Amino acid sequence: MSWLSKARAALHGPASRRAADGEAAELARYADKASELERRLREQFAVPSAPGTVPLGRAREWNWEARMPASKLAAHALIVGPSGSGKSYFTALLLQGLLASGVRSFTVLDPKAETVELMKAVVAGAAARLAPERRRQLLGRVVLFDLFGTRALPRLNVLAPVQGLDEESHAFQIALLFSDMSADVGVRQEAILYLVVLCLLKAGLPITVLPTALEAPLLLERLALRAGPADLFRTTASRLKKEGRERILGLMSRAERVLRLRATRLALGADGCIDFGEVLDLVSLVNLAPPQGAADISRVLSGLLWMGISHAIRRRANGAARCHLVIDEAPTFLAAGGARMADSLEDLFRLARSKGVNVTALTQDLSSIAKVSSSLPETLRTNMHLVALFRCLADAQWDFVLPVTGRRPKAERAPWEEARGGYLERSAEVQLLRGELQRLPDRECYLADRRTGLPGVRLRTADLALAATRAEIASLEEAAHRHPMLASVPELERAAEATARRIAALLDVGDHQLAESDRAPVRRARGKLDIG
Amino acid sequence: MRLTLALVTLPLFAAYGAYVLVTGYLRGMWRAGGRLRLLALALPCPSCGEANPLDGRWKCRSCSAVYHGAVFECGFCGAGASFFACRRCGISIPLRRPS
Repeated sequence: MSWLSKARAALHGPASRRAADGEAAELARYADKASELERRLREQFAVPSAPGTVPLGRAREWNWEARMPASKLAAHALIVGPSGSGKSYFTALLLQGLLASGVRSFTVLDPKAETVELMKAVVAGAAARLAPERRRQLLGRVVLFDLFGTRALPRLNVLAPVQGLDEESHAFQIALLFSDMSADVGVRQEAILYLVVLCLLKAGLPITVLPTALEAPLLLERLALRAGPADLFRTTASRLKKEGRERILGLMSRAERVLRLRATRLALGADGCIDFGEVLDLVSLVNLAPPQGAADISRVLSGLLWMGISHAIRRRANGAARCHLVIDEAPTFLAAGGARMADSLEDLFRLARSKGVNVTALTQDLSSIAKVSSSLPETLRTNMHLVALFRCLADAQWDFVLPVTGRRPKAERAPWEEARGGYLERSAEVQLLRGELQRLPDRECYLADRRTGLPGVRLRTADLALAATRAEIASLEEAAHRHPMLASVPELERAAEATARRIAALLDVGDHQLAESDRAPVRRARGKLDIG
Repeated sequence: MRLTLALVTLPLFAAYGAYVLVTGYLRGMWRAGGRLRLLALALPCPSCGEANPLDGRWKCRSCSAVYHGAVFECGFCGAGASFFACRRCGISIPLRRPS
């Protein structure tokens, strides 16, 4: 040891100890930097347990309980993951937390009936924990729309006047939904469909009359005497007569396809339409799960519902009371209206928040949404404030969710390998996290709140408190089916019969008074009427 | 003749000897001053002014040993380094003054 080292040791103590201490302090400083991200995430996602906070789960990496204030859940949310990964369960968990914190306005649109079933148990459980008076109030707000039900159905006469929507736009949108059912509808067929739908709308008839109106133009001629403007009815009738039989048959078969189920005919043929604004303000559980082989009907009904809901959202005042709209299997739902519906959804995301509506979209991936509209995935990623990623194929589009700390240690070396201590580079860490995202077990997700500018936190979602008994769920269903927004099947049958009688009266013309060309169509139309 | 030559060159040798002694002394002082700087715990970077601790984890270029200790003397082979890099800007910080 040189004199210099000896002198330093005498002055400051042994250099090796000082070096080791300094290194330990340096490592601690880096560890602090690594925990900086955790500290900030913890501030956002681990608020202390208190009324008005919603438990979300447990942070896997840092092992603390994730919990957010219900007020922060008042945001658009995107939940992505394959079937069975826990999307619906997580959504039910969020809604359970919102229910517990006093939120009483949410709508669940579910084409699979899975989330609705879960939500029935959640709502029944929440109601069971309330005092009798508040329980009654909650149950009075629950409506169960089962669009293919056999007990009660929503009044869904989509041609009933909509406040703030002119008849031409209204008819145009309905006609588009029917013509979008298949790609082979020509421009002329679209135009005819629009005119006939407009005539029915002006005459105050339901869409269930569409096949009859297409079959027998005489109906429109007779309506011209009672509803105005007469020119529209006469022109439409003459266009129908001039049009080739094949074209009209094509349109009729589409309309009859949609109306082939009795439940659909009854709901669409009701004497009025539910107020979708009211639907948004209640606890509305909409079951769109079709019976076997009726997926096309479910798609059209989804489109009709979406049309009503989007008008209702637009009609809401700015800063209206908050409500939540959950769209399960968003691509299936969007497929109803195709790219046009996707466009309207994009517009809606932009204005929904100011109208007090928070949209939660559940999807298995974004590529199926891209099939509907190429720009919609980007809109969803941009506009959604909360993003929950369950196990999914990870690429650069989800990197913003990954918690890159810059302080993840490299893998331990094998004994025969050269020492390679230190931390992973950023790109290597991103690759590592992408791999983890692809291998997430069920009920684990990365949850990010984009409003904070922070990446996500890896969560094991909390357990749902599904303590409701079968009797409690049955009583909820009973209350939900009795809601004034629904009509019983006999009531709807009476409405359908009244419409059929009205049509029969209009077509009740002796054969001798009919032109030769009208006789057969009128006979066929009369034969199809569902009276008695 | 020889005596004369010796008398003439003696002052010259004396002057040269004095010069060598003085410069050697000054050089020694200069080097010692440089070494004494290493008694401190940190050296400032000549470029950015960052105080760089002299004690830490170092790898000897001579024997490749990794040791905890002072940068200027390997804890295993005793080899001395002539510079080390500033931890902030990477500029080399001399450990010895040039002669």
